[in-house]
Amino acid sequence: MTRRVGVDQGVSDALDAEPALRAACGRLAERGLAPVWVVTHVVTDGDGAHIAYTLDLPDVASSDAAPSDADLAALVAAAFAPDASGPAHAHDHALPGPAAVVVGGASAGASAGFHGAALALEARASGTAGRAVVYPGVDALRGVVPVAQVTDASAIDAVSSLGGAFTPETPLQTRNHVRPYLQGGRWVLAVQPAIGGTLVPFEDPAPKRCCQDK
Amino acid sequence: MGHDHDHGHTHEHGHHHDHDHSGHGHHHHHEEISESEAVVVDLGIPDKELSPHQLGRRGFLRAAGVLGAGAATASLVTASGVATAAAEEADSSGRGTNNKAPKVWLAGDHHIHTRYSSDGMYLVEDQVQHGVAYGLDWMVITDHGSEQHVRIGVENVNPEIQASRKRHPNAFIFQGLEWNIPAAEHGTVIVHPGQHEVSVMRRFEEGFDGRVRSATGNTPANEALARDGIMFLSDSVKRKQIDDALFLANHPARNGIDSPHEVRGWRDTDPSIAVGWEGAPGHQAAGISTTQLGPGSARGYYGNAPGANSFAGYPLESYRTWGGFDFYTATVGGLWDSMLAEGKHWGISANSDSHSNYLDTAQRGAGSDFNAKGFYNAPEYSGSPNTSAGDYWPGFYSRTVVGANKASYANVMTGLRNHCVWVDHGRLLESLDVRVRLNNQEAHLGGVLTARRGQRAQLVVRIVPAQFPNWATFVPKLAKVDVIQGRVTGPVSDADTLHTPETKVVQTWDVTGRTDVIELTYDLGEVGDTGFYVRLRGSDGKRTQAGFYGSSVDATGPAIDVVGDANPWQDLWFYTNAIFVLPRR
Repeated sequence: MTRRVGVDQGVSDALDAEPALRAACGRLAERGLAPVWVVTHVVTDGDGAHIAYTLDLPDVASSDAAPSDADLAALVAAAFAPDASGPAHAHDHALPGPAAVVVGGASAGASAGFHGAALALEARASGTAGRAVVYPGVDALRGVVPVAQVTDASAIDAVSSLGGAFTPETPLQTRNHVRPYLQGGRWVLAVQPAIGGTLVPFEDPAPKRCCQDK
Repeated sequence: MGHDHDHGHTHEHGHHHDHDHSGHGHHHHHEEISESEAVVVDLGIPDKELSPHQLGRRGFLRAAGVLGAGAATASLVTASGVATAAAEEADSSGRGTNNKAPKVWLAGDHHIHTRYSSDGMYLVEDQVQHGVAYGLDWMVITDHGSEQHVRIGVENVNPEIQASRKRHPNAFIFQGLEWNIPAAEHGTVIVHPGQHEVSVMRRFEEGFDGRVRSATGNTPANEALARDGIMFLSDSVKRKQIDDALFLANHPARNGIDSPHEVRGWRDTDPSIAVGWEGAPGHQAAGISTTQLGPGSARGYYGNAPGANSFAGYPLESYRTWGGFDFYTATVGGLWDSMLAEGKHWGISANSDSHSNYLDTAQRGAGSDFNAKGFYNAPEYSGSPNTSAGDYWPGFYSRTVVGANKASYANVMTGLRNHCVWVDHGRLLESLDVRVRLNNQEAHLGGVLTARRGQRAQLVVRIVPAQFPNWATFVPKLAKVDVIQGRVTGPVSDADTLHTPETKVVQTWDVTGRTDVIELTYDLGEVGDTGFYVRLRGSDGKRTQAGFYGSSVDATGPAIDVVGDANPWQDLWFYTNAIFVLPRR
């Protein structure tokens, strides 16, 4: 069993959330609550669209009293506290702000984001779209692996190729950043041709994103 | 590109009515036809009272048969409402001004940064003298809209531009802006030189730049602000504050945030201002592998993933370049074709987007404080080539070649507006002449022919492939030429349509080994009930794959660029704009 938490930090680009998510996952792991799934969602709230997340947390061991929704929300909000992460890089995308957390009927943190966090939970429940950051088997997809390992060793259902055929043995340079997208109810990793007859995941962990660097 | 220049472009502004456009209070009703368009189609207003861009638009409509004899096709070519007004004129000629053979071809680049961009470094003259040396006839200086630029850069760049105009009297150096289009990507805005070029650009940036106005989010209000910006340019021309203005969208598919309805909205706000987009983005060196001492990034810096503001209908494929071109120009039957199939012109360009250039030995000037001063100090010699830079100097790799009646600022802009344009990479072509013939009529790139149903049109192409080494010091070899033809299917009911199923490659010629003049003809068939358009494409044949919509549509289209290993010199393409053939009543 897992318990699902919605989180909104008002991030405009999913890559900007990576350091904050990494730090929060580390803090939650220290409490025995390493997320099983972390999924980012586009939510439209107020003035426009931004990114919010859902975290599926394991139930605590039966010997411990399970925290109430309110306690869990506060615990997750603390894990996302600003000092738990630094900005990824200096540009003008919206960087993670104070976290709003919604779990069950409870909430904690920055109230401005409660709606977005709830929308993320709705999006996750509807199963129509999402981008997985943490999922079962994500740790098996590091370094260079045969592309078949993506579906053999993780919760990813399928691999799709942008413009090019591949065999199960084709090396996939994971760049330690494998982020499948939910498409038609299945988790699909898009890959594309890379140097030396290899593949890389569609999503680049560090693209040159904008023309306003200093 | 030899040509005679007309240096007699005087800018007489006898009437200095400097209307105060400080506000952003121009809220036009975009669902109706624009005021400018109304003037164009009001045939009670004689041609001689129209501005050049209005006259060009009227010529297009005439040629398309919308004004006068061919008015039955109106709904295929213009916004609704135009036809009624237009049908009153009886013009039996069916010919437009843009069907004349261009007398000169002028190579240029409309996307160039300088030290007035926070991510730039060069003097205007650094860019211009390289561009001229590499064969360009015209350039547009396009620094990013920003808080610093609107306050400082837009003024300070002008004396540098003026100095470069003096030093290079045979080149046309426009002041422009890289507009942060509200709710969307970047775009180039070009104004004709003149007394008010700076003040109009500044007011435009103050009023309509998405960054200056904090209007980058994907909201209906911001989308409306973008269209208002186009109308501001329209009005500035109409009020004769500037002689002419143009807008082209830059790197349209890079982040998936130029949705189809936004692009159509820009075009339909004023198609004589919003004329096209970058068919190929700049940053073409960015994909050179690190083993070849390159940046090892994505070609064109097209390495992004969908974000919160991206249009959900765009496939992941569209976020990458294909043969160095933007997906929606590279994909036969894609968004560009779906716009052309509406019976409306939309053009392409190919530019450097030069910020800092691959293997250049310059670095930003020491002691610079861009945030405070709005520019970087003059660049300095660094001592070592920059292998992490992803751009080429203007003219070094990418060209936008414009057909014009004569060499002048005004004619460069008219040529872009009339879509008399072809583009290439690596100087793949020496020259290109594309015509559609039908009876005694002839149309060139960007032209429109009208004819009775049942008549047959013929495509006549004359290509001189590269005769001399390019700037990578080899003579590129053209290997194949494709004819792309599509039926005009009329206005789309859904403005977010991004596919047209009736456009495909109808002919491919293998021209391998041909180094002399290549003459090609192709029977385009009968005009039919709705007409068609045709455009051309070709390549060195080194990298091809079946197109996004399958090999029956495009068997040997451009291949997706390999991440970290896309040497641009080993994958060269040319593309042309379209020619329309439409039925006359």
